[in-house]
Amino acid sequence: MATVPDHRGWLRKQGHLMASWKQRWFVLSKGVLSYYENSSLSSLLGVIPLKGAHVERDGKVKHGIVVHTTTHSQEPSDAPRREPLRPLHSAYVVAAESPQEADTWFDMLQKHIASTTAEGMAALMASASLNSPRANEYKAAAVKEQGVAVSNYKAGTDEAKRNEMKLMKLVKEPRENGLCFECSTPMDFRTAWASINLGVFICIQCSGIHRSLGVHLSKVKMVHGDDWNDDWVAVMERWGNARAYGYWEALKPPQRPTLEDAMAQNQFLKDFIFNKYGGFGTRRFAAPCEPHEWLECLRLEAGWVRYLDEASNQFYFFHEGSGKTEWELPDEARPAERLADVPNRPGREGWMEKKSGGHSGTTKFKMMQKWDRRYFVLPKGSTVLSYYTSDEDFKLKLEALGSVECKGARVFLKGVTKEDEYRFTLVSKDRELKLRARNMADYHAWKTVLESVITDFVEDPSQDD
Amino acid sequence: MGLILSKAWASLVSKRDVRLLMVGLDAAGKTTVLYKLKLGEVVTTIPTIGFNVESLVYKNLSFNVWDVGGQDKIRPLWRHYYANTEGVIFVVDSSDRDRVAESRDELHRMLSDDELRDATLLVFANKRDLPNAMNAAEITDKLGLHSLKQRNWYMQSTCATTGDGLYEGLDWMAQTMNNRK
Repeated sequence: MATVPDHRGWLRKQGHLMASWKQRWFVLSKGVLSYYENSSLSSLLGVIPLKGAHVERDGKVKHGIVVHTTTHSQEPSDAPRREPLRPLHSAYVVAAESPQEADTWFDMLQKHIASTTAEGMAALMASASLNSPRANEYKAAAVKEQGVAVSNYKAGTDEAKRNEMKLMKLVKEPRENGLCFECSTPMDFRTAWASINLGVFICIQCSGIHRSLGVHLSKVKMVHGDDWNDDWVAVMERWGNARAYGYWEALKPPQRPTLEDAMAQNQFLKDFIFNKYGGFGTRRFAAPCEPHEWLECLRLEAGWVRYLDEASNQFYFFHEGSGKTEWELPDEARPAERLADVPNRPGREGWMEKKSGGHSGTTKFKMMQKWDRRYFVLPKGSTVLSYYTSDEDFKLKLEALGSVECKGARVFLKGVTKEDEYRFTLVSKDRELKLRARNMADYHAWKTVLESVITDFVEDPSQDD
Repeated sequence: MGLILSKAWASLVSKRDVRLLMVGLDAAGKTTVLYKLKLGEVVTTIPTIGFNVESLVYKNLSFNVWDVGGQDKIRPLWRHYYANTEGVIFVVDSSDRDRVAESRDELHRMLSDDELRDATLLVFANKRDLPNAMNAAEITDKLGLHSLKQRNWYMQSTCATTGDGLYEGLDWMAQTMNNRK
């Protein structure tokens, strides 16, 4: 569904009991106006649902706006309440710093109020400004799903030609654009692909994974094989790989895909990309805000705030205390590197012994069971443990004798059992593997690697056979 | 008698070749559909520059399925595959609301080509598992399928990664082809 853009900023708010003015950080999003103690959003002070509300300019207060809510009725009382929700008042009086700000807030409030009803939304979409020269019926209201909202009108021949020239330059400069955003494969105009809502250039292998995320997360285009409209190019110019790293990998991933991972399109690459863009639900490495917020205004260390100068598309740095402005990131403003909390799957291969006995472990008579020496491989980033007759077979890429999906599996650690054995049993949905490591060190190494894939470890010293 | 038997036998063992063309916008899932049908597994694809072709033997028919890339600049190449095409599989991404109008235009442009006047049309409304996906009725409407005169068409919603709906669609295609000969 199309949504009205969010709006946020400082406003002064008049108290309800005491008519005193307090600075509050206001956030207008999805038809709800909330206010907080400050922009860290740590303490929510009030929530004003805008459905059925109306706003007017307050003549008595400089740059003032009054938000009239229709009733005192709140959500049904059995609905889960967010804690600091105060009782609704029938009117809220706020004041902006400047007449321009007051205008913007007034306009945005009206749009958000309209967006709370279906008719209002339809009217908004009809009046949405079609700012591109070749806008036609394809231009729906921009949908904000992931990354940046992009339009989808079809570029005409001239527009596509002109943008081809722009893209040729853009793929080379800045330099980061010429290296795949995921795996760093070098690319040029002929070989590059891009995600037009994320604003990043990627290689063809990674574009395959991006496409499997779905268009609500990533919209993939071929740089020289698709007709580019002005809006898409604008997103690429505004973002680009260098800048997008700052947002999408604000928390440093423990491991990044390599060229080899990309060529193989292996599980590690898929997991990395799905983790990154919320394919599994959360954006694991991204900054804790929306991309446009990060781009427009970012709080750094030591009282510095980074803003984007829209005209030059350059960042500048503003010091709140002193009012100083810098074009270069001051050292004291540089945030400390933070690591993302993501399972690191280093993988491992080596010899172990496996007890024969078919898939359930009971299909053969116990007498017939024996230990077979097998070459086990858990590829980097993968969750599938496979075994081969020998390391030669694995190197020759022969088919594995068997494999087991370790996601959701359990491991019973048997530890040191009789005859100085180092054993553990891996139980997945469909099979059981009884394994014997060669020695204590090997046992611990496998245990560590398996722990990166399986979380369910059970100590089980019983000697079942 | 012998003749009847041999004819019956022939109809049992001989596989008629049917040429199918699978097209649709880029990233609709055409290649994933093709290999799910061919191999029964989900392959990780890269965008198709050019085409993939596989033969699928199904219900005494041998389908030669041509899967052609869908990027803007290679769509004009689709017409080179029209000759002798008996059926078109048009794949749409059900979750891509932005581009369903573009899909409609490409579909109707293609069907207006004289070489495809007798081709039957199977539409796969793919990726039905994704959030916000349109249902089959909505896509039928948005693709303007009801406006198709004289065209034998069928709409099937699918999820190529699980295989849901693919064989229902192919069943229809096989039945239509068998009625035809």
